[in-house]
Amino acid sequence: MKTFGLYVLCGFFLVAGVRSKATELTLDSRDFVPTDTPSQWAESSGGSLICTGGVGVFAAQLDLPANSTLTQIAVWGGDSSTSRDSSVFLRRVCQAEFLATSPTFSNLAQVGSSGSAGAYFDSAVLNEQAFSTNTCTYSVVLSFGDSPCSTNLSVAKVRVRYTNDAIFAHGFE
Amino acid sequence: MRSKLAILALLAGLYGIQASAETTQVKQINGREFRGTSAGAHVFSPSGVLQLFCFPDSNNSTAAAQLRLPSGASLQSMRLYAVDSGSQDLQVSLSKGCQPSFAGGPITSTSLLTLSTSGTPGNTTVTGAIPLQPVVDNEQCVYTIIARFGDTTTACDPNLQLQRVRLQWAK
Repeated sequence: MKTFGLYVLCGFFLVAGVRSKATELTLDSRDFVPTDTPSQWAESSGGSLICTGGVGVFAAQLDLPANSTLTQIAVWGGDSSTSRDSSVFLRRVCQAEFLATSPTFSNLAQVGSSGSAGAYFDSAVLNEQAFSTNTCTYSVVLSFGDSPCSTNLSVAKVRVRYTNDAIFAHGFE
Repeated sequence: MRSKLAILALLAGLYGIQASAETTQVKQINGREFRGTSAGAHVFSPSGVLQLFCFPDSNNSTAAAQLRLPSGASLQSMRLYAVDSGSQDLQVSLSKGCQPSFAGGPITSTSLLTLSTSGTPGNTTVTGAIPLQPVVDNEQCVYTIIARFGDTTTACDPNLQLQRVRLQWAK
């Protein structure tokens, strides 16, 4: 009987392991929208997002499947500013599911540029179990320095890696 | 050997049950995902939580977001989360615009559900069932949610804020 139970347990975790898929979402520079109207922006010859005036904060929501675990955020861009850096936040915004409440937010990870060497890449590891997609949304927020934004900063794309635990997707949690 | 086969059958059954069962899921759209429907629509996200409101100098009070769901999903209900501290109300409408699959043609627009805040409750949430639970047809139709920050499409009430919209669907 013990052997039988062991087989069932091993089989369950084997199936769970096979069905936990690592994948990624890539946000193109054109997916981002300014968080306020006065912001102005342009596109580099390569298609990167450049802020040309205003506050310089842009956001894009991540379209995550339920039961995902966020594992990494990475950014590619350009920084030729000697005084300013770009910052990229992975932001979680939560609110009660069936009640009228004020939303709250947390920055789960931050990446960005430093120095002025030109093209840059930065990444950060995280372990965020995004099992609460009924109450929380996940977005990437870009900041091109303080207002007014620096025109010497750009973002080409942001990639978010996650695993999806499909075995829990149908109420097995 | 027989016990191993039994285990395999059990696991296969478990997998099959999961794969075939229709599940209810949720899609959420932040206020900041909505974009003004014209250059005159001045929209603003006032804080870190990415909720949206409309500038008083805006000459267009509407902003739109596309709803992307898999084909075959049945739309069950929509819930609006907002702040209403104004004399006017915030309205959110889900509609579909359809055209022939492989031919030119006019867009046939159908309203699926409209929700509206009322009074001045501050934080508020309003929900409604989508009649007939329409099934998503991505081959012919585009699904759009339009938020209107006031009683008309031309003047904004800056005391209205769109926090998010929640769509419940099943497939």
